[in-house]
Amino acid sequence: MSKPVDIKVKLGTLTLKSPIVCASGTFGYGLEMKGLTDFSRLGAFITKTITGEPRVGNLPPRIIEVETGVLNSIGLENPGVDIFIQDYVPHIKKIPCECIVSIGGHTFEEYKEVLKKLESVKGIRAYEINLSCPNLQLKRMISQDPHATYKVVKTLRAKTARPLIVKVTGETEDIAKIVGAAKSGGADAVSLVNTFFGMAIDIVRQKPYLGKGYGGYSGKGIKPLSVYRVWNAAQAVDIPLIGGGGVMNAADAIEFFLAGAHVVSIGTLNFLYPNACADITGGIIAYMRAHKIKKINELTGRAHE
Amino acid sequence: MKKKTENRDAIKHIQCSLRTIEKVAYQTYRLSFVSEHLARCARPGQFVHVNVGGGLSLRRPFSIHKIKGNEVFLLFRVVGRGTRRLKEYHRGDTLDILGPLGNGFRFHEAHKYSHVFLVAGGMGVAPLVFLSQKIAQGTGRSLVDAHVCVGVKTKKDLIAKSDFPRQFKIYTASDDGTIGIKGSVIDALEKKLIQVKDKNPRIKIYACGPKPMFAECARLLKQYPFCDCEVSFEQFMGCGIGVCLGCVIDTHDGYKRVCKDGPVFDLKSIF
Repeated sequence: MSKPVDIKVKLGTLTLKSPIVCASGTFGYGLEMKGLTDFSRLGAFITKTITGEPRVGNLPPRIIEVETGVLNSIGLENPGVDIFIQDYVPHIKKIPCECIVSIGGHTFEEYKEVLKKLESVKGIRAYEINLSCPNLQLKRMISQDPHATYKVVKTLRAKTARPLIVKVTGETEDIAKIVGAAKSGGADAVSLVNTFFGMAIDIVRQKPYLGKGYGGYSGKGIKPLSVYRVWNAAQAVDIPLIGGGGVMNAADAIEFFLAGAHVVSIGTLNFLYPNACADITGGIIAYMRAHKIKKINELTGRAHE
Repeated sequence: MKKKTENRDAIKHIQCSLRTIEKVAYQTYRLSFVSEHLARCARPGQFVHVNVGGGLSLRRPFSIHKIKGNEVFLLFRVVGRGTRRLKEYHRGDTLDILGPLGNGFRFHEAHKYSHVFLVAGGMGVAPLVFLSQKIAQGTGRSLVDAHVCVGVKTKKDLIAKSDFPRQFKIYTASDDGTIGIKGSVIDALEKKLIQVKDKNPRIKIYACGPKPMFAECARLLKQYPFCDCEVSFEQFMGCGIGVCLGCVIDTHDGYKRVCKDGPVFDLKSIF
């Protein structure tokens, strides 16, 4: 019998039983994954982003595979926070896994409004603040601006005792400044990265494939970009990092731990293997045993040493 | 939330051994594998999501072509990287499959109509064979008039004709006139509709094919109001199970997921 390894991780006051989580938008609200994924082996599942008002989403086509990954432009389609609470939360509560709700908004007020409504809902263990959606006031993403990042996190921090995870874009001049601002604002953890902007053009129709033209690029092609940003973020802050972007197997996930991630998120791979998170958890345990690593946090940031 | 759970428990992630694969026309292949689960649970119009390997990032959807005992058949044309890879599979290779997925055709309603038309444009013939099997099994005796209209570019593209049950009368149309009438599958359908329109018919059309064909179908529906029509749609797809919201199409009722709310839609909800 092999020795047990400790893969528990703390994100603020929340303890995850596994350091593998699904990335927002790749598990829906969990319901459709029932029977296809082993929730008991998942650290947490992060919901698709919820906004104040319902969003209809972007013009189709919304998803296309490219040589080294996937382009998508879903446009944060979601039913809005009220319907989410009324119709989805009762089902989410039955899922045997910690639930982290992703919050988004066009304006600073929208973030506050969504969080305020979710505060009274039981069963939500933490929030992931999606600062990588376009902001109407800033005309760019909040997480491209350290001051705006600080302002939003600080405001939301004052309104909840639940752990706040701040999700930032990798498309920024200085990731260290952004994660630093999130920490100063009171974030318990930072999640990085979201997709990178990309485009593919159909040479038969001579038009972009995606209805919106451009979209978010994810999958294996972005892994080196993501690992590098996690590496830089780990040098900038000492709060836990959820790292991800292009993880296709356990070896990829281990790279992120070595770069400084405490938790690794699985995104696009969930579409190919609905049970990918559980399988990767198994692969990490095997790696830890082979390398005589007793606790997962011994692995975190080891490549910096 | 309207819970659509009627077949969710039936969705499984399964590994199946490929039994047969053959080229049936230019760039067109038919393969089969054994799956008791799919043979038992799948409804016509549903699809499977296949991980064809080779480092591709997404699965590829294929509608279920027919089922014979426990053997499930898929029909596909080589159009891109996924299908180029799939055609290289051999007997005994493992297929990684999610399914059955989607809603399927409402085939039980066929017997309520005086005439049933299955309308296939090109590869749209794939799911209609399974549908014809089910209609024939369920309503064989009471079905007054069952027809299949198949449209192809040219004679050598005509496939699966012999797979339709005997009850179905088959009409073909080809772009170049090498088989059947010269024209589109919609021309063939309209010809039949004109023949029966004075007999006070109630007609059900089940269609699968390219999008322009559906627009033409919609035109016929306005002209021949005694027809109802269900169509199976295609769209670039991500997860196949309703979580990513990647494969939506625009309907009168807003965006709908082809993988979960479809792939079969009432034509009147789209056009």
